[in-house]
Amino acid sequence: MKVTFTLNGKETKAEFAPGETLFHYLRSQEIYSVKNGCELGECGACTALVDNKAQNSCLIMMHTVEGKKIETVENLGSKNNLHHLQQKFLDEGAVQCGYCTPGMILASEALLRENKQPSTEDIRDALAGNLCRCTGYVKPIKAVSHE
Amino acid sequence: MWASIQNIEQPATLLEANKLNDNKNSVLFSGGTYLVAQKSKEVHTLIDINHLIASKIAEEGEQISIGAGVTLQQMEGHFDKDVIGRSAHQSCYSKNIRNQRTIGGEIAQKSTTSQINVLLHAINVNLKVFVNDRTTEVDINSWDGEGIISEIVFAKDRNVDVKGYSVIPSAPPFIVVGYNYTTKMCVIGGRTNGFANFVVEDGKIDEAVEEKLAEFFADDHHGSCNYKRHLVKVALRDFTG
Repeated sequence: MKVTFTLNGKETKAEFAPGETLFHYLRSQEIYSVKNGCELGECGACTALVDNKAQNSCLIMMHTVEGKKIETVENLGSKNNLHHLQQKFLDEGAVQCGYCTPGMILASEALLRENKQPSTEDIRDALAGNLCRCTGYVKPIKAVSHE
Repeated sequence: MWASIQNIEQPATLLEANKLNDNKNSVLFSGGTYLVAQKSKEVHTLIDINHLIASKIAEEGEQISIGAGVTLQQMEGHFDKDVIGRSAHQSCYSKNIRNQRTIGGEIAQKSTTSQINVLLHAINVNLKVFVNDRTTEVDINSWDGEGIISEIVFAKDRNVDVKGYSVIPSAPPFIVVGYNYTTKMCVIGGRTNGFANFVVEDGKIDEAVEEKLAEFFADDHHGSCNYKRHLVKVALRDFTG
């Protein structure tokens, strides 16, 4: 099967098996910021932005991305040119093992695109679907609050 | 990867979708959050109906209609602080998932832990369902699960509330109680096999309802049947003052 969509700003034509999810496709393209967590939609480690909204890519069938704008952390910043949210997470010490961090950054970015001045409650809500066993959420919330 | 999927159909009409759905090992696919998480090996064909169902909320005169493809997050945004927006929010702790999960899927999956689904049962909304070769309207409590839900319709003027009990706020509730102040209908869901509904006058549960609840609830790690019945009474007392 084939589908055309925008992946990190580039028009992409993808060929995929009928049962393939966006998560598997992204990993196959060496986009490793998208992490394998539960594949049940519970943990948010595989978060991607779909038309500016944070969604769990493990629950998105590839055929449904036709014409959509997909973004991962690779689209926000690079190793030598960090996105301001990435920098904030570093500055606040909001990164420990780092496994959930790409998902958290994307969920935060989606929130900030729709609400420039989110309340703490808004941030908690936006990050609730991104499970983290290290940070306890205090510092990630602080990092987004200071945006 | 959903390895058992061999084929994805994108029918041009709901009639075609219904015919395709007659085939064994096929399933209708809209938001897909329940289906893709389950990844049932029995399913070989997905019948994608996303392009055939509306994903908008319309308010016209005294009536509200919600396309079956509307997501929980859209509902939360539209109804905001209203009980509908609140219960859409409380139906799923993850905003990521609320961006994907559709209200049609919530009803079709007969999700009993979904607060919005219990609330819609308490309102007793009408469903526009495409069955065989035509669209019919049926109230949600009478729907037999057949056909494709295209729209949810109800009056703007509604007086309902819902309350959920869970171990922690982000966990799915093991009891959800919805109450319609106008019809006095109480609907109960949660970690249950289906919904229970009955009329409650003045917040008092009669003996027949007590017996019904005793059969409806089971003792489990969330608590005893008596404890759960007590929670229902507490909710009803809160609703009716």
